[in-house]
Amino acid sequence: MAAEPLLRMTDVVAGYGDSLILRGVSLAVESREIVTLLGANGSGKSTILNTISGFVRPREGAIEIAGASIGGLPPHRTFRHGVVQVSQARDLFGDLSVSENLKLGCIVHGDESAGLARVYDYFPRLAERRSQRVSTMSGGEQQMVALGRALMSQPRLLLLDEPSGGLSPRFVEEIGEIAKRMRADGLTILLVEQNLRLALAVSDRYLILRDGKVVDGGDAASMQGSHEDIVRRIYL
Amino acid sequence: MLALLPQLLVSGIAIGMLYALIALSMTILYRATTVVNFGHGDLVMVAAYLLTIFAVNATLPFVPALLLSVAVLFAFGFLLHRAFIWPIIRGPHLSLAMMAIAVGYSVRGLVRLEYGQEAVRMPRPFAEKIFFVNNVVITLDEIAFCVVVLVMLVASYVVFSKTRFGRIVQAMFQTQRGASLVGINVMQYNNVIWGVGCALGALGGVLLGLILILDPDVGAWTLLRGFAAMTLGGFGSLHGAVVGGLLIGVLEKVLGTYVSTAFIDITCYLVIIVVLLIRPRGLFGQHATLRV
Repeated sequence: MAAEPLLRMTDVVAGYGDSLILRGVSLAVESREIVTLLGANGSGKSTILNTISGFVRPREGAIEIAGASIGGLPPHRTFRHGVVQVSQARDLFGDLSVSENLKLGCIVHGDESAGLARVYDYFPRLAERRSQRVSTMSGGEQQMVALGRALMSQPRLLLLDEPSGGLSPRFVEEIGEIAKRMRADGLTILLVEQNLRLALAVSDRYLILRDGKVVDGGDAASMQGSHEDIVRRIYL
Repeated sequence: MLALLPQLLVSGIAIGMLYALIALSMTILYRATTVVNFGHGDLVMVAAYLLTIFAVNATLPFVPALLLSVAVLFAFGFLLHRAFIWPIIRGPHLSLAMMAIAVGYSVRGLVRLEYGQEAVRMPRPFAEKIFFVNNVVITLDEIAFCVVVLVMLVASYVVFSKTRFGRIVQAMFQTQRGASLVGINVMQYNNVIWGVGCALGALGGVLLGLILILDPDVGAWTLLRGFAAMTLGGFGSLHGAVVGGLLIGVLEKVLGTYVSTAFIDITCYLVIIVVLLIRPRGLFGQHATLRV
């Protein structure tokens, strides 16, 4: 019998108010796999992440983590299933210090000292700036705090929404290196990323969304040099 | 003229302690949902009435009646948030403010239904007494105000800055979505915070009942002073609420004596006007900027 995927979405329909964004999304993410969602603006990439984490309630369909149904659970309950999201806006506690932000990442569950050691190992710059107020940091540094905070609870599934969004090329490169390290460490990640080069470099697979449905997908490694082809498949 | 100043300072600080407690209880609610509970004064008023009912009608001793009133207000605040605020939490702030006003006025209406405009005197736990210290008169009520409020301030400081609960509240004040992202049950914590805010307000109401004759409109008097203290101290700042309350208490007494007695009633309005014009974030209000 085939092993259960860590995440399975089956025919999920969801949206905001009267507008329907996801129109029957089905996908699966295996444990220790990194899958990137690609698609034009409005295709439903971020809505998929928000629906998994519980900020958007699915109207139809099923969402499971390791076989346990999490569809429609509020965010604090999906968190208990090991689902942790890093949102596009980062949603950091801006007036608190780096270390306070990180500690809050495991306030519900997780080992604080082990978590801090792990995060400071990933991001040595955060260790140097542990007392700095997060609102005074640059966008790239804030992204590191957001990723670090998410890692504090040792998530089973990490949902990353545009981690390179709005960052300078230097930070994009740095975030790319960190994502590769996460991959090597065996983290399971569902990624939304506009930067194709970064997305394909760190992912095992990609899925293309159009009009709220998964319409295509494949092996990321085989598409490394074929960005034009992917762009065509996203938009045409 | 200046010989009166020590007396005014003592009386101002004592009444300011009461304002500080009311402002602190409003600030706690504000930190949960960034909504000023414009119905808070009415809840404070209800607490004093409840104590009167428990102590006079149900003939309970003062302390159990007080504890029961505080517990009822905790439950009321908890349910008020869960049933009336949370369902519209994503709506415009104006809707939330209007909801708070509507609930407050409804409560006031219910009290009026029972008591009309009849003035009610809350039972006292101790006889009125005065002390002289270097020609300054200090009443036992003023000492009670200071003791109760100082204990509450220390307890609030410990809870909000030294405990896990306090760290969570602090996180929720920064961003409720961020708090959800780290697994915090935001709705449940908000319910509890509203309960705590209303329970603290209840204590304020009982202290108020020591110095004022109760009537259903006394809530408006309370709300304005609490709101002015919050404005002066800075919205969301716990220590700002306390400093704001003390300053307004002293200002009322000093201006009311040296300028005109009319200032006793209008100082809180003037403070709101001046602070909003000159320093809208108050003395200690937070001014977060995200550099991206």
